[in-house]
Amino acid sequence: MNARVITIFSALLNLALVAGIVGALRQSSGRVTKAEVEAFPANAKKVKPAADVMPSPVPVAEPEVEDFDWGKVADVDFKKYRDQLLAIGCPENTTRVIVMAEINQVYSERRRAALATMQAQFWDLVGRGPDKLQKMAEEATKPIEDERRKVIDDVLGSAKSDPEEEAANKARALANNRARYAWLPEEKRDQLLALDTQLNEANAEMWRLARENNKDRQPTAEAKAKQKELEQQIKLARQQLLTPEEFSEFELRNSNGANWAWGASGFEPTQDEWRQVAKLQKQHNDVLTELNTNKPANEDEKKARAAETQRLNDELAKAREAALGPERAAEYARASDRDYRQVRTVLQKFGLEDTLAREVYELQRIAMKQADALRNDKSFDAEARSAALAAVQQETERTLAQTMGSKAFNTYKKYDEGWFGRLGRR
Amino acid sequence: MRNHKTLLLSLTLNLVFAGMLLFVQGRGPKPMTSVTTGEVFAPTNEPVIPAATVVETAPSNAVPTVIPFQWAMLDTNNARAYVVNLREVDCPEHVLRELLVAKLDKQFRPKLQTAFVNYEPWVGRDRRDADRKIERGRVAGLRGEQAALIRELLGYDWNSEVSREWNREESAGVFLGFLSDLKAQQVMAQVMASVQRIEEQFPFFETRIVMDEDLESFGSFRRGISTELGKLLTPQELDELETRAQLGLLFSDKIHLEGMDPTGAELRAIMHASLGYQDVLAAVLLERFQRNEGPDTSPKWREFETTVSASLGATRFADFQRAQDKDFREAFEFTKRQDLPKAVAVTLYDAQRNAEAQRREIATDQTLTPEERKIALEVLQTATAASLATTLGKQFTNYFNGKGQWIKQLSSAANVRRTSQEYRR
Repeated sequence: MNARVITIFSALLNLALVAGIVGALRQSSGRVTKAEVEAFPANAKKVKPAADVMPSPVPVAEPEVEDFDWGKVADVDFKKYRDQLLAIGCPENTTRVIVMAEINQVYSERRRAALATMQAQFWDLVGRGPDKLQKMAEEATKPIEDERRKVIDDVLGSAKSDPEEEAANKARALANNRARYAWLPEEKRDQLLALDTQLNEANAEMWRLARENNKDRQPTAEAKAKQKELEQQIKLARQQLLTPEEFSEFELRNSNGANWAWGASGFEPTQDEWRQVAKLQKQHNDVLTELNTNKPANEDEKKARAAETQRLNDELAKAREAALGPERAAEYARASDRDYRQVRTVLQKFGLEDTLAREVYELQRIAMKQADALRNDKSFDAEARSAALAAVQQETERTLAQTMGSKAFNTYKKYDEGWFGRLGRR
Repeated sequence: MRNHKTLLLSLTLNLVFAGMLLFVQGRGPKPMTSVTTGEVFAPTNEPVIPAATVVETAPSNAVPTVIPFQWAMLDTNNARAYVVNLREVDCPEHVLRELLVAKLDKQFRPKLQTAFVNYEPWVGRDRRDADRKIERGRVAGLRGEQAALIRELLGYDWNSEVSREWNREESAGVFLGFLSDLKAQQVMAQVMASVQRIEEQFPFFETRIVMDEDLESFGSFRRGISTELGKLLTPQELDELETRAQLGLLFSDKIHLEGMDPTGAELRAIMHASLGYQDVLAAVLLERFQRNEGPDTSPKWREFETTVSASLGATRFADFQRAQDKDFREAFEFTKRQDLPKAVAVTLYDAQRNAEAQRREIATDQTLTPEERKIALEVLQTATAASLATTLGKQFTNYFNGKGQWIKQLSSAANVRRTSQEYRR
């Protein structure tokens, strides 16, 4: 009995194993799923199905993949071409790439023919002026280009974005926005972002309507007022969402005073320095905005406003100096000076230290002061002044070359953006 | 006994089939490679299509079913496999390269995205710049990787912008129209790739400051570009391409042809001669940030002038030289704007040169007293102005207050201040 049972069991096992082998062979043929194809792409023309591994112990009729070559989908009729590609499961974006390449090929040949006569006279035409050549080429190819665009519109329509990519972009944008509020408790970030979104969408809609409906493409006064009202509502909502400290921090970080040290080369404020000066800068900017709400009515008002702006600027500089201390304030002033930035960039390029950049900058200040004094000295006549300024320039060049080294100095001279050129001028 | 034999046979078959199953499963397809693993782009010698160790199947009476061909059967995220599959089905080359580039663009795009860095507002410029530099390096590395893969698979450079630009910009068709469409686009792609490599390899794009060492290594890189283009083009084609490219110098303040109206042959001769003077790529990429220090007096310029002079002959070379003079260009610009004939620009320029020469003579004439010198300069100024007022008529005032400021300078030492109306009277 045992042998009989074992025989039956063994026979069943054999059947199961045969089925397993067939299944495995089918999988390895690479024609069933996209995943399999991606790992081992099938070659529709050459690879024989299943049988390429070993003889099947039982005769099984393996399915064959339809023989394919490009001629089966390609067509001079671009719409037919497109449809034949879509019919074999070619994704829309890929179909677009293929048909676009074919359209371009056809129109590129037509354009070549249209430009052939110009090509023969290329140098003569350029000699008459590159703009004339450009114009002629535009005229010769415009009808072809118009037709090409029309065919693309007709056959392919406008390009569609990839939904996967779009989702990834959205996710990335959200993560970026959330990171901006990393200083806030987690639970408040999304709520704040929702308020931002509401405001941004309303703003985008206002501009869209302006572009579509208004001749000057500018929002109407009414639309602006509505947007302003929404801004106030959102501000109130932020205030309700955040603690007073958080709200004040939000306002400061999002103010235009927040960037006060960004342009400074080689200067980084401490957190405390940043906060103090950002507050001063914000107040200053708010006052300036208020001051410039309306255009000055006349010349006198214009002058008065300029004087008031100067007074406010001086006041800010003093307040900044008080906040940072004289030494740090001087460092900041130097770091924000274009001349210092330039000399520092050149010296860094030559692997030289910032101490040297500071030294050169000081030499430059001294030379500029000397030159200014000469320019204002009424005891000089024009020729004597020119000679004295030339001497200052010469001496400065000599000292700078000595300090920086001649290689760095020569490069610096080539790229100097202002002061060096101005030094010797009357 | 018979049962035992059957059992033995069946058990043997069990072993054989089990062994076969293990073998077949062992050589089956690998799991799909994720695009993000990077394995896709790693060089591999693995055949794209399983080696066709074709063994005849046992004859079967069953009619095989035919599975319709589907795009998915040749589509794959493995760039190498994709190209092989497309070539196997006779995909035309102009389609294939766009498909490959589109595929790789899609795969690289997420990696090329610059990750957002949330800086605290007190973080300074230096730290931000340093981070940006690292990020640029990362992106450049990836772009280089993508470009190298395309070059390897196609045998030439290509990118998604080439056909877009080629089809949109008619000037590309004119400028490169002496080449076949394919060669023209290959040249575009190669130049684009080279410029990208320049941006990656040379840090001066960041600081806009070029050291002498940069110029040397750029020169060697530039020669490499020509060598690469030489593999694609015939010597004649390469020469024509390089000569046409030199036309860019006309926009870079290096060579001027204002008022010269060169013939085609003259223009080509000038541009060809300029190859030995100034490389257009260096002028456009490297020297545009430098302060312009006036006319070039270098030996290379003089050599260039000698070649141009030999090609143009004395008269036309004089026109060429005049075009290099800023004073002439200003006079020419004035006449062009006022819609006056070119001859007027030449008259203005000659008048200026003569007056300047006389002014220098008077200023250095030691036989004159200061008072006599002053009077002589005033006379010169009045005569020059009167002569130009006759030439320009109504346009004189515009000239006198604009490009003709030099007239006022003629007697500046004498401090003569007159209005244009006085001169016109």
